[in-house]
Amino acid sequence: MNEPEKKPRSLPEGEEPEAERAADRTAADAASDPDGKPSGAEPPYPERPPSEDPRWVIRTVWIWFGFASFSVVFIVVLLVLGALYD
Amino acid sequence: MEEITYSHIPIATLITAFLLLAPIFEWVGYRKGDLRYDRLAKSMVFFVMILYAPGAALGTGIPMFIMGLYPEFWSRFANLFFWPLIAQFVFFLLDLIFLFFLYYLTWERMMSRKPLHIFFGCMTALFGLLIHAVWDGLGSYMMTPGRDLPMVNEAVGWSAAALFNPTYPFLFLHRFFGNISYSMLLTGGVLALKYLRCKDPEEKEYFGFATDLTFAIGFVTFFAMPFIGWGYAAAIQSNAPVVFHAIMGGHVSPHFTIKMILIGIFLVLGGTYLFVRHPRKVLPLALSAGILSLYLVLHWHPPLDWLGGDPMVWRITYTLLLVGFLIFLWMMRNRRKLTTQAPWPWTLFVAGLAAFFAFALGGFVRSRGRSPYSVYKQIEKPEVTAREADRFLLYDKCLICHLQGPNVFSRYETRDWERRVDRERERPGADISDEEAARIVRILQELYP
Amino acid sequence: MNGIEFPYLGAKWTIGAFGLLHTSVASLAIGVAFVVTVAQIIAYRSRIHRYDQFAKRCQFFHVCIYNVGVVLAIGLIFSLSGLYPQFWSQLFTHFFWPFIVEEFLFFLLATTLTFHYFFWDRMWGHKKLHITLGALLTPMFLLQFYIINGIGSFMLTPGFGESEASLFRGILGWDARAFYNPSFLMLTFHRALANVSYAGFFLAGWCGVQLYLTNDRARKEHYEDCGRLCFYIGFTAFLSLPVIGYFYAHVLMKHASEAFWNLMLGQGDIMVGGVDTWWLKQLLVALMLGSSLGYFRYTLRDPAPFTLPGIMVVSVAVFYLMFYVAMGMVMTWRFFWWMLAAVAGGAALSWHMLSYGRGTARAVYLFLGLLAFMTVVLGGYAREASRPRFVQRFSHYDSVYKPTERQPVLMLPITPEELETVLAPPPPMGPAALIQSECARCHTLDRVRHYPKQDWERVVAQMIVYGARLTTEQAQSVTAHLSAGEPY
Repeated sequence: MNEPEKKPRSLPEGEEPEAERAADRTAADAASDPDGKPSGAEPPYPERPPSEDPRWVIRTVWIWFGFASFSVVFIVVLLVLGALYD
Repeated sequence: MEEITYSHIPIATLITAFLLLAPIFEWVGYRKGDLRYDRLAKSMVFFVMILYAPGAALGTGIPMFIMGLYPEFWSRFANLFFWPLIAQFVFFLLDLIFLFFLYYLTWERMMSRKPLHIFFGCMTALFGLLIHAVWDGLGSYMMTPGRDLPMVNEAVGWSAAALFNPTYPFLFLHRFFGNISYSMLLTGGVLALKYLRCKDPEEKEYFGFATDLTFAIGFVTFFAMPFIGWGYAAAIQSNAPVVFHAIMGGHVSPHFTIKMILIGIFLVLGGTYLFVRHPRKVLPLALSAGILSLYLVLHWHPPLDWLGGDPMVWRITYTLLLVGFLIFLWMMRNRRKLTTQAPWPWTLFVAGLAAFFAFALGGFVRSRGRSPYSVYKQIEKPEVTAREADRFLLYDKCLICHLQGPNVFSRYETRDWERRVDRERERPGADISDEEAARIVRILQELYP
Repeated sequence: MNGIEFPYLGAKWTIGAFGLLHTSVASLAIGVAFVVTVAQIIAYRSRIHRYDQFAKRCQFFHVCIYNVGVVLAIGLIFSLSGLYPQFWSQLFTHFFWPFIVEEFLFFLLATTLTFHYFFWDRMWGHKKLHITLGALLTPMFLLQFYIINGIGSFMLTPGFGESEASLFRGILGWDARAFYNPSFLMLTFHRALANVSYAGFFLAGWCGVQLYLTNDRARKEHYEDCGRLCFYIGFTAFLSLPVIGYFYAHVLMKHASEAFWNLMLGQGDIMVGGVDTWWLKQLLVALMLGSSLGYFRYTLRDPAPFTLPGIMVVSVAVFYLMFYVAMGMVMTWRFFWWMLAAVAGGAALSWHMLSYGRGTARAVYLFLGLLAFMTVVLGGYAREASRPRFVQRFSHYDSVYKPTERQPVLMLPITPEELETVLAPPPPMGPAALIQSECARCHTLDRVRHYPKQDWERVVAQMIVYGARLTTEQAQSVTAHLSAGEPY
């Protein structure tokens, strides 16, 4: 990890490390504020290949989607059975 | 039903600790002109934003389970603490407003007005701390009730004696420092893994910095805990002696022992890492002082049961352990290059996990120690078994004099419990009815056949 | 018995305030989730990015208000616990399992919402998956609120007569007859669509606010377009609400006649400060209808996406004219004329606002947003306030569990004077049945079974002090039964 003897490094004014967030930026972001406010000409609909999405995000979403969908179906079945048989 | 509690508490305590530290990091970064602190603070707040909704949803589940499964307890408890519950609702609302609308959303826009932004962060932290303070009052009351739990027909709403009960300050301080400690140790561990996986040199440098900072804070903060814990144990011993005995030698002591082992694990792993990493003497000297301060706690502690022989055996053992550990640490100081290699980030992560589980066991120990009471000697859980009730009676009646703890009973060679209990009943001050004696005999026969 | 006194507001208005605040936020959250999904799908199909940008902003707003809604819900249940302990304990234990399922849905929703918003920019390569994740919020919200509707509607129409059965079988935490009570379906339909409508109009109103605040041409176009979309969604969902409302009132007439007459005649708490809140709601609804029709008629001049064709505007106007005529026939002609005036006034007002704004609909959006909020608050208030009031707070819902005294008034088309002739007096209950019904009111029977001592006389006397309703003879028979160790 970083050498402790070095003085703490200040980043240049306004600059932020970008490497981690490369996956987040699309052409649309360049044409609009980060929070979605429009600021110029109609930006194009962002398209990018699926391989550019972080894999851990997609994996997490698929797992969660499966769990949540199963839970919804389970609850619906409980409610229907409750109406029919209780 | 504890599962819901255990899922909510780690999230809530992490949020409280992060919100406390984020404005401090932000302020340090502002004063030093170092944007890495700002980035770290912003990441922590962003993580809090992600956790907030699921954490709040799980937190709603706790009263829901309590209301349905323990309606009498909840009705009486809500009667006693009505105004604190309303107050925590107000604090929650204010915390939300400050966090979402004034602190997080305005981060970029207020880069040129940092002092005001940091003030918003401090307000967010303050309200988070106030929520934590209210719940600590309610939680500590359940172990050391400062007044009787009222019936529903006696409207109370607020009681200073109940909220500010004997163990309240200790629980509050123990959790205050504990939250910071475990959350920073765990964060340090996670950031260490991010450092390991990072390829970009600038990012690697940032994650290395963040790991060192958070892990050091978590480790140093830990050293307040044994002393606060000591005071906490003393307060429990005076005000809820059965709980004290349950934890110290009773049915909850295995969990408490595991907690101590986990603490030992992160002390060894984390301490070694910090000694190796920091060539300047300030931190190693501070940590040495912290480790030596543990000497005091161990000195006051009675000798452990599983160490046979004289009390001197106990003293020699912990002295050798501590001194040996310190010598080992100081010898490791010249091995800096080791920490850039792969096992070390995983070591930090394991230390962070150990800290997290040590913290999680704390709440478990507290609630199990109180069993079978929801509020100590005020209201029992409806699902109390005869075994639990009898065990409580045994601790309550017998450990007033048999102060060494429940394990003393296992030392009797002849287990003629009926005769023993009859004899004990004749001692002055022993107030044991016939029915209670029968129950005590029964539990002794069951636990120590 | 006196309960905790809440200063200034009093217990009733404290619960009312918490309930209304929570509902206005939670209902909005439900509707916003739907609007976000629609906006995302439109953006994806048409490849117009602005709708996706708008959806993202709405979802961030949703994340914020979701947490506010959760905190308000916590405040509500804590207030109920402290101010109405018996009612709340009884209701909660009676519906324990639905509440737990609802809590689980709460957690599912919070996590899904969190993932959907915070992973927005990291899933552009998997847009369909992202949209589907967001779409999952709508059925989850509907389920969650399906459950809360069962409990809420139970409070107004307690059941088909067998809900007391669970009392004698013990506290099970689930009672199908109580949950699927007479007004459950209508309340669910009414609120499901009302939430979408409310969110649509509210978000349109928010776009209206942005239109007032910005001078940038691109932003104006953006918010005008997104406002139109939200308005369209809000109006489409709104269309069937008055009709569902009619059928809802019909159910109440049959199964909660006192509440029905309180609403119709403006009795009891329906009147607030001299204002009939139910009438006010109807006026606001008519105003919304008129304003919307005026808006859609005006926008025929310059067709843009999300406007209605002329034939549709005319059809809706004719349909609702006939609806209000029918209401006039069933209720009073005064009602018809007032509603007609409100519709016409609303249409004229929105026409004027559009003309004055030279085509921008910002004033209309803002107006309808405010009206939608007010109708949601008034609707929730009217439903709660129409329920007959009791004097003793602690015995508020006694009668739900004493069906022979109270439920026939709510459930049969009879007048209170006919009660004695219709109902036979209940048979006297034996001590075992008394223990099951009275003791289980506040705590489980395990507590009775595990009680180690034999001082039952003292215990029964103490329970009566705590609120157990036993006559002297009943107390004696229960004491004898427990002392003898007889089963129950």
